[in-house]
Amino acid sequence: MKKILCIGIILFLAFGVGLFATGSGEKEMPANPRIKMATTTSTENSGLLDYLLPVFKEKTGYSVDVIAVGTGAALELGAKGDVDVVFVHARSKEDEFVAAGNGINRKDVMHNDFVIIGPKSDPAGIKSMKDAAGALSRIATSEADFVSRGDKSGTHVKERELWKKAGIDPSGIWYKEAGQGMGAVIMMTNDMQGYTIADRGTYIAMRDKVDLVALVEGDPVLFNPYGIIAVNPEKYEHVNFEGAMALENWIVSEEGQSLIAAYKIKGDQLFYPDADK
Amino acid sequence: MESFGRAFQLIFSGNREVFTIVFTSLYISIISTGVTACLGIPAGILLHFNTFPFKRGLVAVINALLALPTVVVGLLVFSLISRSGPLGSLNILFSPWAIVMGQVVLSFPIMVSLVYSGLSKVDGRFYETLVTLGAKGRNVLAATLIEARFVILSAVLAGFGRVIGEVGVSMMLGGNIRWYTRTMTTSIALESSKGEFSQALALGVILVTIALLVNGIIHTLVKER
Amino acid sequence: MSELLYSIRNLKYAYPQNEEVVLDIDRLDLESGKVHVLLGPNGSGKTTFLKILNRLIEYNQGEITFMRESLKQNKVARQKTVYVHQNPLLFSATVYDNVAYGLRIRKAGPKNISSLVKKTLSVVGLEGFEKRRSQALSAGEKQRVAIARALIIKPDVLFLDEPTASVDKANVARIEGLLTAIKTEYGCTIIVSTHNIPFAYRVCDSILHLEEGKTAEPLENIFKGELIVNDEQFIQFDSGKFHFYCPYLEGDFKTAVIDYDRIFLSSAPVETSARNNVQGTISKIETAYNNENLVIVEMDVGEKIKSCITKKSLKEMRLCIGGRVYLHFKASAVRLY
Repeated sequence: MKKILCIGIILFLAFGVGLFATGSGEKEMPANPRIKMATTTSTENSGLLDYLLPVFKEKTGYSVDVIAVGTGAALELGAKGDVDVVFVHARSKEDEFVAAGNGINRKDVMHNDFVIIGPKSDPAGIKSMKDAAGALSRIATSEADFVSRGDKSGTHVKERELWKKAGIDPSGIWYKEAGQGMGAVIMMTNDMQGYTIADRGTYIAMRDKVDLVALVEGDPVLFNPYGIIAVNPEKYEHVNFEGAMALENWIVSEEGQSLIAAYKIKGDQLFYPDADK
Repeated sequence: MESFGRAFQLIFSGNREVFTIVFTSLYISIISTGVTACLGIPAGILLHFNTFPFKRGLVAVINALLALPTVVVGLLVFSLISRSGPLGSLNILFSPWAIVMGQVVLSFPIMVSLVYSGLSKVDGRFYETLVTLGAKGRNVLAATLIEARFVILSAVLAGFGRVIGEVGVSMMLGGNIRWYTRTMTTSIALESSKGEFSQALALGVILVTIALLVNGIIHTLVKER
Repeated sequence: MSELLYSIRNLKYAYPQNEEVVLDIDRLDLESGKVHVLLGPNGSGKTTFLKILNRLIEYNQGEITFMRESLKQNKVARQKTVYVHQNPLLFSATVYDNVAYGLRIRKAGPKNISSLVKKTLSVVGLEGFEKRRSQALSAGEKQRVAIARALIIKPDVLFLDEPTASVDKANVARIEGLLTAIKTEYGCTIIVSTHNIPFAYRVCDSILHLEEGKTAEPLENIFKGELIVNDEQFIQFDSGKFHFYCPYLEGDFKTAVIDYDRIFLSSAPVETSARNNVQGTISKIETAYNNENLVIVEMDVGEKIKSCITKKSLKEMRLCIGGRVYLHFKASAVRLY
């Protein structure tokens, strides 16, 4: 009995060492083959990264550790030097980040857009409105449930912008600040049959699981560009700047861009490459 | 109900990702528990055998730390091992070792407290018996470890139960990185946030099974005494 | 043969918690090679006293010497005296591991340990118990394992705290036999506490009463021997060197006790109603330690026997050491155990 246990433990340990040592391949390896990337929940929840990164690894040997948080938190991790590269969507904050010397070489990668989603019954009556801010004021007036990310993510930043534009400071029990990722917020919205603003990618990825429809789309203000920024190696010597640049360069390369354009869920394109702009 | 079916299908189909996640969880938790045991058991024993000023206060503090929220531990360790923190040069944030560190901090008070309280339940006659038979300090320690082996083992298992089931530390310090630091709990949080309830449930079933197993072991050990 | 083992002077002991004095012994000497019985009711301080002598409790007032060295920090006392609890606690392991413990920590070789465990278990009557789990034993068996665990280190002194408290009658007899076996086999001093009076007298070489923390050496003569029948109405107790009439009782008695003050003295042979009238030689006269008006006269009648009389009688009868004296005591003055 003891012997069997011993053998079991040894196998377990051996296997574990093997697991932790993943990433070693026969190909020529970069000096530091691990890149830490902080990104938004929307890029991960949409499945885009699971689709892109294996190809990137195949090409270059870099494996990317994805830490999916809100845009605010992702930039904060970058500012602290805890990651090598950030891949986010909140242009104004990205510029602040670069201006503060935390990151360099910001590049446009792609965009999608935000949509205001809500129940089919549409109690606030915003369907097909072309003015996103106007739609929000209607939701506020009708006091229909609205779920906000409430986490300083790119989506949240966009939502605050829209409220500001509508001249409303939302408050009341109808306005729920979830403090969660995009996926979780869509699930909550579905349960409440309320409204929320989502990035199209996550929405499409989850469309089949929820009973919500895109009600307002196409307003230019809902445009959602994603940028990639390498963490400034002059500020943090230890960052894997080479890896970060390899990722940046690959993702804006023809190959990366065409892969992004080709990524579809059930026939819908989720992201539109931007790098050539 | 449908997700339950899918859950079992996932478990038994040998899905590689599910397997890796379960394995990562177990691996990290076992290492954390091992490290904590190496620190916590001696600490509990020292606490038991020594008297010093403010000992009662210290015990009270340790007992209070049992209720330490995982996210607070996560935050604390995060600020320590973040690049801009004092231990930033270790470069372990968002790695399994970061989770291990957080889990050690999390489970250390549990083990100290359980070992300490377990030893204080050892019959007073036990020490007198050892001393009267001529045992010296080292012998007393060894004999106590052997005599209290069930107490100590159940303290270790309780520590393991705590770390395998926690999500705050793993999420904040590990970063929920796929194939690397994604554990059962962080994965459950992620999958359920994505609405992938069957995947979440599959992992939940495994997690509950492990928790039940560990508790079963503790129970049998304690009963056996 | 008998040497001074423990010498206790002005011992006072109070529990640190409540400062209540639980032991107060002015003067007590214990000789080696004997069975000393500490007789007293529960709560009289027996356990505390034994633990102090075994150094399990540090005494704070007075002086105790062990083999003429102070007991404080006494390494010999630590290594060569063993205390066995009332309701002893066995390690949760096998009987073998329990008994072997003292030798293991003394780094004895495994072969040596194995043969000694076997031998010691047979002394306590538990042959073949090596592999049993300690938890599965009866109370009496646990006790004997604990005694074996103590004996295996060949102690100079064995302390047994209330060995008869939680065992049935048959086991009391067994422990009695065990004490005799230990004495012959190991020759160690045994200090045993009990509240069982017959047990106390049967096993003791010397007896010590303990009440509310104070000791009193009883004013009584204790003889070891056996009963012999040579009369229809009376029966005699024979200690080997001295025999006397005692009450007609059925049973296996080993000990006869006669209080000092039940023995009358006369300077000339006189006719009395007492069954026992013997002639003796005075070997010692001393003042009773707790009463200045009394003297204790020790006489030789084959055995030493003591009587207690007033100073006045001593003077009037003109008794002196070496003088001849006649002792008288009734058969009913003899208590048998």
